[in-house]
Amino acid sequence: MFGVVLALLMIASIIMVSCWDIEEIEDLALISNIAFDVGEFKEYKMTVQILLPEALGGAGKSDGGSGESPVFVINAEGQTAFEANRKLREYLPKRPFYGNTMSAIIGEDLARQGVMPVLNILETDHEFRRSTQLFLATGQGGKVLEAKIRVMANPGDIPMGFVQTLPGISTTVTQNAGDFISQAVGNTMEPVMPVIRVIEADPEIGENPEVRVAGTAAFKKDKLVGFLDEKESGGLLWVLGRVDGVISFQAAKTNESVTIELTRSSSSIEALIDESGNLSVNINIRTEGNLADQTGFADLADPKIRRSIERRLAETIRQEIKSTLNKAQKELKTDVFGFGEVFFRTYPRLWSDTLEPQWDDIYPYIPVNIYVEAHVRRTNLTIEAPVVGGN
Amino acid sequence: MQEKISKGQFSKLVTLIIISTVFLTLPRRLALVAQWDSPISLVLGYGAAWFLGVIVIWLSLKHPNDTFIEYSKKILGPYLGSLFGIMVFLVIMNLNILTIRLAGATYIAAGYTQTPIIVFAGATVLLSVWILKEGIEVLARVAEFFYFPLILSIAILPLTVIDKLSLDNLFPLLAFGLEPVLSGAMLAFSIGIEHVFLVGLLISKIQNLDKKVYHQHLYGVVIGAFIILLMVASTIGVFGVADIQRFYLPPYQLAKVVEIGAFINGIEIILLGIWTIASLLEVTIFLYISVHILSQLIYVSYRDIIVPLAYLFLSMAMAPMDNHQVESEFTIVGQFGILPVALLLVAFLVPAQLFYQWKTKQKLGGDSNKEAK
Repeated sequence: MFGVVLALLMIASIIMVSCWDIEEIEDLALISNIAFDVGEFKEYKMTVQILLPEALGGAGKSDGGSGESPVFVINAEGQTAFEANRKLREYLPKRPFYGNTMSAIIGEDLARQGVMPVLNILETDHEFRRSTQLFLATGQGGKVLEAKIRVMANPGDIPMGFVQTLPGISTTVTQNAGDFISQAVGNTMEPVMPVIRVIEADPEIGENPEVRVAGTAAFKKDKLVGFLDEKESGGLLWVLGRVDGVISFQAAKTNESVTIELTRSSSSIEALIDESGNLSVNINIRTEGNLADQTGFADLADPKIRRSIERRLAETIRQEIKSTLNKAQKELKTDVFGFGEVFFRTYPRLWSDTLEPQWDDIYPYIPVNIYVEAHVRRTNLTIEAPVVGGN
Repeated sequence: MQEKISKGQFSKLVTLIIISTVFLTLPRRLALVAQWDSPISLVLGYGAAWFLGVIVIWLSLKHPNDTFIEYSKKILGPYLGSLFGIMVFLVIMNLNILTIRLAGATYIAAGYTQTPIIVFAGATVLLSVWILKEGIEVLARVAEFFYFPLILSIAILPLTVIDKLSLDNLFPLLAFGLEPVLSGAMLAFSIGIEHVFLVGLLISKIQNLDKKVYHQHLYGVVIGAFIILLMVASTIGVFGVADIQRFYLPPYQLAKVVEIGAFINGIEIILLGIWTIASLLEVTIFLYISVHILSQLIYVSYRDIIVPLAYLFLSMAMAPMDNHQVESEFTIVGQFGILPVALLLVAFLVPAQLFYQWKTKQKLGGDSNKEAK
C-alpha cells in the first residue's frame, strides 16, 4: 500500500512538473493585455502588451524601477489569431504567456466584420481565461495598449482598473469573453461591450495618449451594429439590473438639481402573451438611494417634497430606459436586453417553434411597459440644505 | 495474500467507480441529449442503475462464493454463461481502452502539448498493473485512501463558483416533453451500470457477507450519483446548456473560472490532480473486471494475465491517430453495448435463477425425502 502511494507520488512528481512541457518563468513574455484589429497585409493583427517586471521595480526600489515604461507593445499579423501569435515570436525571443492576460481590446473595423474568429482563441486555448475582459476601441485597438494614465504606474493595469471602477458610475457595461461568446453564439440575447477611446495627445510637449471608457457598443451576433451613449448605457444597465452609482435630475416642484446615490437596485423582466397572441414585455425596476447632493434649499424632511423627488426619480429612470429601448429596438434592432431569453424561459416550446426563427422581425415591435418603484431613504448627514440668508 | 474486502471498502469502491472519470465527461454528454433536463435524467438513469445493482446483489447472495460469471455458467449453462461473460468482457475492454486514451488526452488538452500521450497513459496503466498484482485488498485500500480527498475536492468546486451560478440557466425544465429526459436517462443509465459489473465480481470477496451489503451498495450509489449531480447542475448553472455542449470537459472550464478574492485562480491544476487519481482508479477497476472475467472464462490465474491484457489495452488505446477515432471505434461497443448486456442480465439471468432455484429445491426435496425414508 505504502509502495503504491509512493509510486503514485513519484509519477505525479514527474507529470506535475510538466515533463516535456517544462518552462521556466524567465523564458516567458508575460502578456498583460492584447488587442485585435484588421490586418494590413493579412486578415488579423494581434497587438500584445508585454509586462517588463524589472522595470516595475522590486524590493528596495522605491522609485518604481529604472524609469523606463514597464510595458512593451508589439504586434504581428496572421490569417488567424493563433498564427499572428506565432508570428510575434519572430520579434520576441521569449514565448508569449497568456495565463495572466486581463483584457482584450477589439478594434472597431474588426468588430464590424465580426469578432468571433479572434475571440475563439480565448476559449479554445488552455492559457486564456473566459474571464478576460473585453473592450471595443473606437479606431485601432492596438493604440489603446500604448496609452498611459499618470496615476497608473503600470499601464498594463489600466483596463482592469476601469473594470473595477466602472460599475460605480453606470455609464457603460463590463463584459467578459465567456459571456460575450455565449450570447453571440446563442439566439436569445445579443452581446455588448464597453467602449474605450484614445484621447490623442501632443507628443511635442511630452504628453502621452490617454484613454476614456464610456458608452456601450451593441452587437448583433458577433458584429458591431452601433453605439449607446452614456445615458442609454445607463438605461440598459437599469433593465439588466446592474446599475450602480448616481443619478441626477431636475426636481419638478423646486426646479433644483438633485443627485441620488443609489444603494440598492433590482429589475425583473416578464414576457407576456395575451389571448389574441400579442406579445409584450413588462420591465419592473425597484431602486433605493440616498440624497447625495442638491443645488437648492428644499426641506427634504417634508414628506411631500421627498415623495415628489421619488416620483421624479422614477420618471427619470423610465425616460432613460425608454430612450435606450427606442435606440435598441427601432434603430439598432438588436436585443441587448435579453427579451428573447425571457420569452424562451417562459414559453420554451413556442420560442423554439415560432418566435426564434422570426425574432429579428418580432423584436423591434414588441410593446414594453416600464414600472419603476423608487425610494429615497436618507439624506446622509444633513436634513436641510444650508440656506444662504436664511434664519 | 489477502483477497477479502470489508463492506465499507466495497461501498467506497462503488462510489469511486461511479464518480471516476465520469464527473469530468458526463455533463457535456448529458447536455447534448437532455439539455436542461440533465439533472432529472441523471437521477432517473442512476436510479435504474442502482436497481440493476440490487438485482445483481440478489443473484450474488444466492451464490455467495461465486462471481457473477461463475454463477452465470451455473444457471445459464456453460455455453450461454460463457457467452454472457464474453459480452461483458468486450464491453469493459472497450470502456477501459476509452478511459486509458482519455487519461492521456486530458493532459494534452490541458496544455501539456509537447509530452507524448503514451507517458500519461503508460504511467497510469503501469501503476494500475502494480496495484492489481498486489490483489483486490490493496486496490480497496488505495480506493479508501483517496476516497475523502477525491470526494471533497470535487464537492468543493461548485461552492467556489457559487457567485457565478445563475439559477435561470437551470430552466426551463421538462419544456420539450419526455423524449430528451428519457434519452438522457438512457445515457446516464448506460454509464451508471458500469458499477454493476464491479458489484457482481466483488460480492464474493466481501468479508462477513450478509444483507447489509444492500445498504452499503445504496450508500455507494447515492454518494457517487450526488457528486455527479452536483457537477452537472453547477456546470449548467454557471455556463448554460449551450456552452456546455461546446466544451470538451465542462468541469475543467468550471475550475478555470474560479476566482476567490483577487489572488486565488488557476485552480484547474487541482482538477488535473483529481483527474490523475480518478483515471488511475477507473483504469485499475476496469482492468480488474476484465482480467477476472477472462481468467474465469479460460480458467487461468488472473495474476498471470494482468500484464498481457494491460499491454493489449494500452496498445489499442494508443493505436488510433486521434481522439475522435478512439471515440468512434470504442464508444459504440463500450458505451452502447453495455445496454443490451444489462437487458440480457435482467431478461435471462433473473428468470434463469428463479428456474435454477426451483430445480434445486425440487432436487433437494427429493433427496431429503429419500433420506427420511
